[in-house]
Amino acid sequence: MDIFLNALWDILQPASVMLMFLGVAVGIVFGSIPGLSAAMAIALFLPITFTMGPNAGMTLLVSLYIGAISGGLISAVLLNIPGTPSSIATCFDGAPMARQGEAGKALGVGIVFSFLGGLLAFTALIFIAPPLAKFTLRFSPIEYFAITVFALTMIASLASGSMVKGLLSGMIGLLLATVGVSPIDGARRFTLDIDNLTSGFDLLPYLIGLFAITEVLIAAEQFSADKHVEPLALKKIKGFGFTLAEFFAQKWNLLRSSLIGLFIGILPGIGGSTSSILAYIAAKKQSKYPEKFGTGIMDGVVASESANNATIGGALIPLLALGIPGDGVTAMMLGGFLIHGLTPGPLLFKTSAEFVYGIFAACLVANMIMLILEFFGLRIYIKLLKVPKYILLPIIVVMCVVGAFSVNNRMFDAESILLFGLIGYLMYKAKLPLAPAVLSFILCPLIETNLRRGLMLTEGSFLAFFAKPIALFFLVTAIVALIVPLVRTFRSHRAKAAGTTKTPVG
Amino acid sequence: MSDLNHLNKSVLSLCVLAAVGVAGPGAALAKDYPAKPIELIVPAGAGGSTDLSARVFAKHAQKKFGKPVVIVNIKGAGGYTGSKTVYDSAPDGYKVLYTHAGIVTNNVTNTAPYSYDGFKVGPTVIEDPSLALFVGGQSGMKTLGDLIAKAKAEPGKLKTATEYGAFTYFMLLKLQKEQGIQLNLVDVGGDADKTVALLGGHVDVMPKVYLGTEDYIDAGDFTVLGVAQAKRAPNAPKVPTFKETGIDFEYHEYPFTIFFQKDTPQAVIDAWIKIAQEVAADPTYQKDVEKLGMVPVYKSPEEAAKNFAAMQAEFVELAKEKAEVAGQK
Repeated sequence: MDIFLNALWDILQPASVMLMFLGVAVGIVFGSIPGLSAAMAIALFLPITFTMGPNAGMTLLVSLYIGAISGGLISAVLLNIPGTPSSIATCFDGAPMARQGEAGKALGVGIVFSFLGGLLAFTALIFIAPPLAKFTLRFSPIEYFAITVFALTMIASLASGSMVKGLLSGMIGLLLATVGVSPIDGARRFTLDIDNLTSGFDLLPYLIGLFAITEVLIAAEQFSADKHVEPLALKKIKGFGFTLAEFFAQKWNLLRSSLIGLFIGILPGIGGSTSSILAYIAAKKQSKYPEKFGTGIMDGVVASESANNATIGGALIPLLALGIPGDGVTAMMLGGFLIHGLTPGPLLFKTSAEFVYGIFAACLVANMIMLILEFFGLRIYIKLLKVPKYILLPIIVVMCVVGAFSVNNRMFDAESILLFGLIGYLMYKAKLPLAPAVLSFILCPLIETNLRRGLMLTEGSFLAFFAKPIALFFLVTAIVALIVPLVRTFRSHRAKAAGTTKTPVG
Repeated sequence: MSDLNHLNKSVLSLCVLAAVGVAGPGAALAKDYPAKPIELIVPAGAGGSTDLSARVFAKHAQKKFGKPVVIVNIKGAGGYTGSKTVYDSAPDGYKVLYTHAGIVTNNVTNTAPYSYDGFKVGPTVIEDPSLALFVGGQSGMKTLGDLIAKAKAEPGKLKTATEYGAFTYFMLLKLQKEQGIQLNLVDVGGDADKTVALLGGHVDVMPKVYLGTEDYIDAGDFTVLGVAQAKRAPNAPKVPTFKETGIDFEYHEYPFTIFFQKDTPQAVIDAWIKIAQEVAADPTYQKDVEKLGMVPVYKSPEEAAKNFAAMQAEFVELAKEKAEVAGQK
């Protein structure tokens, strides 16, 4: 504990607090601008941290990470465009809230629950990182396969309204995700002899196109139709815009979503975008009023934002306890360790305790700074809504192109956002939900890779997958999740057919 | 000022729309080289060993060049997307490739239509000779001899972590061929995934560089069987060579090397040779590389090309035999 208090004291020195304010603020900017992501902010600042001391460097990276992940909610709420991939699910209810004049409340809810989700996960990181990290070692490709298949079946729950449309959207995601060389054996699929297609489509350009470009196209259509686009009405807000009673009504939602975020964060490779969508689905399923999800209720924002910030704490656990990075961001942090001559691994807690506790302290303080900065920023952000769309949207398109390019430094990614924008626009016209296309795009490569790796481990036996308890649990749950709605639909159709003499539906 | 130079990467990435316009025809004459910032293309994501070693090299090289050397990460298709960028670039020395044996394995596995000889080979500037074999601490195996005996007792049973078609994959193929054993080669992914797989007991054997394993060896989770080199690796001096433990098995080191578009003028390559020699002699560079757990070197383009040619011949042979074995099944 002494070590921790010392670390906290070091972090609270003026110079390091300044650094953290800077980091969080820059992170928020990167997070809130569609096209620029947390990973980009960190990639940009990584070389600068090489010239700092290890503690200052890590403090800066942690601040950027926390700022960026929470900043994503701003454009998700105000523009219906996720600022980072992690804030996709925040759009689902955040944007409808804004349309109803509750932008301030949606932001306030997002900010506070980002903070709380982060706080819960950092507490877990500080107190139970080693046992949690050990738990992840039980996950072989077989368990990953089971978990990702389970997550994919959740598409059914995202398909609000028509199941067929949900599945269709999911198929589009799967199809686009299979473009490029296949995992493991490197066979070319759907590359049409175009070299740029060899490495497939990247997640970020895909999301930018699907959300941002589509949104711009829709807005453009409204202009050309010469409709008067009314600026969104704004209700005055006090504090964070919600009452204590409303806050306490979310306590289970907060806990559940944070745990989902933490759990997904600990498992390397899945990431914040999946965790926030899964938390959103879980909140909807557990809710007494699932039909209200998507119409603009704070429950949806709470679920998404507490989960994606909890994922940060989760992702740091295997990094610090095992020296294993869970995503692109933590991989870059690992690089930061190495540059400073720190050996990542299970003994880091012993050999460099001051450094590890410094990161813990930085997480807690940066989380606090995020809350403060965004509380004061809130009133500025909502002014964005007053900016005419014909000024705002072109700027956003430029940022999107820049962001898509800088993912992998090639023009092809920037060009591909137009294709995805078109696909997103057509999907909007056909009233297909976007979320299943996103989830399936993210999960498809994970499922395929882990299936093939799992089959190598079991020497080709599918049956052996069911011999593993964790995998068995998730596979059975997935099967149940698929069958139950089918049975229900079948029964209701039969009931309808029996109850009416007219032609049966379906 | 060097901070500002680091920032150039970012500035360049962000202002690339402008840069695309600049990088057109009218490239500077070779004798004035470099007249503008050089892009060092790293065909891998930020944060990995290729990226970090490239950054350290670039940091020192740009001081000597007097112009920024900007790291540009272009990942995808096992490195092909990045190498293709340089392959297709203008032969003016402003887009230069920094990569290792992946340039050969990409060709042998039919991902890339060209190999190392699709480029002008430059000097090798960093090496990692610490590629070793690891087993679980409780496995009872202490040496490569134990592993071979176990593999002979149960052919095809020892689960061995690899990444199909990568550098370590050919190491394992070579081991199988030379020692007449059959392992169960399982693709688990990159270094981090391999470490998890061995820690979690999902595999029995793991080939990996020494960096990042020391803690696990000390804690008794891993046993290291040896490095596949003629001499002990300077970055893993405690680990014996396989030869010391009684089995004659050698493989290559990771050779981080500079490559140029095929028609690049010799004057440009000579400029890089001079810089690489100066950088290699710089003690602060040596210290920076050692911090990364790697070895600073200078190997001339001729030596480097010979090394890559040897890998090419060996990997093609191994891949052919592997295909024949698979065909017989």
